[in-house]
Amino acid sequence: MLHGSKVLIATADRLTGIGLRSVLESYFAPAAVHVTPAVDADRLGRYDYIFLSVDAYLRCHGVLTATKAPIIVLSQDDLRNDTHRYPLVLWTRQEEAGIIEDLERFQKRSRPSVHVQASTLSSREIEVLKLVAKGEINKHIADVLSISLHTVISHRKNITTKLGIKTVSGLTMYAVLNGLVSSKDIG
Amino acid sequence: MQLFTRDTRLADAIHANYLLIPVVNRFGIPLGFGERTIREVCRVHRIDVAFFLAILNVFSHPAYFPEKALLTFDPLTILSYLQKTHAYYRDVQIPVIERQLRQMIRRAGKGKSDLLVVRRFFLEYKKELLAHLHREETVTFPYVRTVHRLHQRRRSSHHRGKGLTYSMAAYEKEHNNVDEKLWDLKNILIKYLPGSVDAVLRNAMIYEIFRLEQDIRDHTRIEETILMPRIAQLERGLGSGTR
Ligand SMILES: [Fe+2]
Ligand SMILES: [Fe+2]
Repeated sequence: MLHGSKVLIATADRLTGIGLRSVLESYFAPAAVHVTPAVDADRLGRYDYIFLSVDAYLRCHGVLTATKAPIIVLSQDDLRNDTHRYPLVLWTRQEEAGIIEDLERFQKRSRPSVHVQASTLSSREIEVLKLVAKGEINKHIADVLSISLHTVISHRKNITTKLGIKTVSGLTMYAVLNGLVSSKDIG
Repeated sequence: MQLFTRDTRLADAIHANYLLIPVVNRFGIPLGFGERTIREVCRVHRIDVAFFLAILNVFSHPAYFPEKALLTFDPLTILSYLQKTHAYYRDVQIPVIERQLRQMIRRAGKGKSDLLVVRRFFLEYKKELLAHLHREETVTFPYVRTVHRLHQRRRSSHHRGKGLTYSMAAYEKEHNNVDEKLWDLKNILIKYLPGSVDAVLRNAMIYEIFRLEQDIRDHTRIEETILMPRIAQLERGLGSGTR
């Protein structure tokens, strides 16, 4: 839990450091947040969470592997899909709400979960996928299957998570390869 | 992997990350540079060492962001690098993947119909990528040249960036991820295409797509973290770029 935690923010970029400190202090009060431009290796052990700029992370990589606290790398780019290169990545250039959301996610898992649990699609999801592959829009899919728009969207999210396929044409390719639709149906 | 510095030997950088080989080539540096450091190689080839170093580090460290050096890079140097990268995608990487796909289809027995589905997807992606490159080459890059020119001969105020119909803000808005479909393609080739196709060619194609995906992702980061802020800075000097 971040609440009541000791937190270190190590970055040479003062604005990022100060901004993040105020977010952490106000949302996870009472948190003791320390901002520093440079990491003091001997004192790392006393923190519950360590936020580092990429530079700081690359510089003291070796020391960090010994600490138990979760390491969160601060990035100016959206690297949230790059979890295989870094431990936890916090994208600092997003809105405050996004930062909070990410922080809450970090609390749930202090290890990156690279792969989502593999499982096969449910029969409902297959119905949705077939219609997506045929190029139907969400509204129409909802009408055809007599379900709400919201449900269609959540099915689509689950399909993408399970298969690891993000684009409509990727889903279409999957559906054809698996014989769910014929290539004649996809225009 | 450590951040590279001017005193890193170029060969050591490549040993640390072999994906840098085509990047180095794009700067007009052929292999065979012996023990020379990055600083020395840049001197020989008359390359801006700060920019070269920034590119090597962007390509090797996914979150690297060259803050201090950023404001000094020459816009035309950035453009020339981006342009060469586009040419490499168009003339080398895409044709290589297409050739691999063609060979696989030619050799395929019962897996042929599946491969035709993959080809259809790939051609769709190719179209999307080429359109992206074309848009940048015909709209964004010429605009960058104009802003650079205006900035160089900052004369009377009416000559400034008034009549410009494009801006870095507009570029930022329209600029999209052109690597998403590659992720899907990779996943299909790894997980869902049945095993009845030529394994050697299939593996080679997957490697090639991994490389292209990574290269494009880093290229996009250069456009967004180097080109955009650098030109936005010139725009501010011209009192334009609000659009
Ligand atoms: Fe580009
Ligand atoms: Fe681009």
